[in-house]
Amino acid sequence: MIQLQHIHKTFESNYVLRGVDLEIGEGQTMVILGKSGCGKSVLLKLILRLMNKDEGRIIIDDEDTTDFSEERMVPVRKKMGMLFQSAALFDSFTVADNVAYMLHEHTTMTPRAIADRVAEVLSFVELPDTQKLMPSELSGGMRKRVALARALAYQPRYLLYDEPTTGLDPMTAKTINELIRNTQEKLDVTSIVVTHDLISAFYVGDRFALIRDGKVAFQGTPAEFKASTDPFIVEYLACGREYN
Amino acid sequence: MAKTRFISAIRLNESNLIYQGIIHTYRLSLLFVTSVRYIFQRPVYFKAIIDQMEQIGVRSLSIVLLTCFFTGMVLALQTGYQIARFGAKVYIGVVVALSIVRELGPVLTSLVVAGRVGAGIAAELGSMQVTEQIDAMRAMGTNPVKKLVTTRLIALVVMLPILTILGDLIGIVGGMIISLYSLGLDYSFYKSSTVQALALQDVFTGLVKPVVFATIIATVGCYLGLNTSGGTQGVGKSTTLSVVTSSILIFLFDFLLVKIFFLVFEVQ
Repeated sequence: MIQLQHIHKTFESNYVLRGVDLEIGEGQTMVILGKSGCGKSVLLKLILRLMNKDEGRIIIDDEDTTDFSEERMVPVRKKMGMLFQSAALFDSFTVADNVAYMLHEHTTMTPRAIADRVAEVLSFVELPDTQKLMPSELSGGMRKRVALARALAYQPRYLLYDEPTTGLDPMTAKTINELIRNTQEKLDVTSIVVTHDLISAFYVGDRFALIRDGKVAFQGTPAEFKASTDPFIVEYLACGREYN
Repeated sequence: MAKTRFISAIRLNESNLIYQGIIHTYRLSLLFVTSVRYIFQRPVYFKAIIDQMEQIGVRSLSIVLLTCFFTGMVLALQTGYQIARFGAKVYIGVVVALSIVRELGPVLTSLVVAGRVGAGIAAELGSMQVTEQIDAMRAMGTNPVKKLVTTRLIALVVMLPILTILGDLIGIVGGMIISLYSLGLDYSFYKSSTVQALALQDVFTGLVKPVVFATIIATVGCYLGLNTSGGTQGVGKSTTLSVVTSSILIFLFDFLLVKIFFLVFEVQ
């Protein structure tokens, strides 16, 4: 379980998060929605401590990580997989080396066992036999799928997705959505999905959280979100429908 | 109270050049100390260090040799004709050897490497920073300073002195070619005067310098790369700044080291 308690974050004069409280239960897929620049992606980076919060507490599996050093964060990070918005594949590594990165870093697996695991996760994301390709040879959708394979290779308990379908055509976006759903169902991971894409949100989400004015303005099921009479949510949904 | 006022005063002037200089020097020093500390901690990235040695050392060899060879030739030619007027042509071997080993070899090799390797490090790490690859590395439980900075620091500290020795040798050979074929000196005389001119402390000072310059090139390149922001334009800025900063620091530390060597060894 991940608990965010009273999280504040400022970027110079920009006060982005003003006391976010959020709880992501075991096995859930929490979708975080909100306007651009409202601090959704920042929340993911704060959970992984890729940036520091100004105030508040982040509790992961009953462990308060607030004062953890970089060294102490390593075991916490090893429990998580992150799919970055830009995929963030290492461009000087092959697909296989990208996917095997954590296995090389944190395990004593034999090269054969690593190769087998890489092939297994690449098949799971429907990209078999792509081990020798370089990231520059992949399309946007393939890059996201390789990034997902990389995140899955070390068998994380938590998966964090930052805009997984942004910049993709509707068919590729659908494939990614199905993969997120499959991952949750087959591997029983807890997921946090930051997205603007309402189709994706309703397809993958068990619970929704809406960030507005630096706080969680709504938290509930997709059905509750749809039925909300809050003018902002009504407008948010209407804008989504307009373009979908 | 006074301390708080001092800090507040600094904060009010964050765009101030002196403030920026102090902050960057502090952070640069911190990065250097941290990366040195990681040399003695597991895991040791042997493969990455060997890869960097190849990138930094082997691939810089041709440009270093070429630069030092021509510098040795030009040095012999320029000084040879000048001192010949005073009948001191026989000292050309001494002038070339001392100039190359004490000064030109280490400095020119380091400047060439700062241009080629330092810029490459800043560009590579800068690109990784702006494309979230550094964040991805941290998210996967890897310490980027240990993986990227310490490996480059070790590789440069090992390879730059080796490149300098090779550069010194080829520079002396360049000077010898001009002395023999253009100034009409005898080979055995040139060789013996060169060997006699060089004392152990010359070789020692000529090897301490590249070690210091290597730490400058690696730390500055990595620091600017890791602090890149502003997309591809930011990468370009970091790359340029890396070469400029490393070059200035190389000249500055060269002067400081020469002063120290003169004090310690009382070099004649």
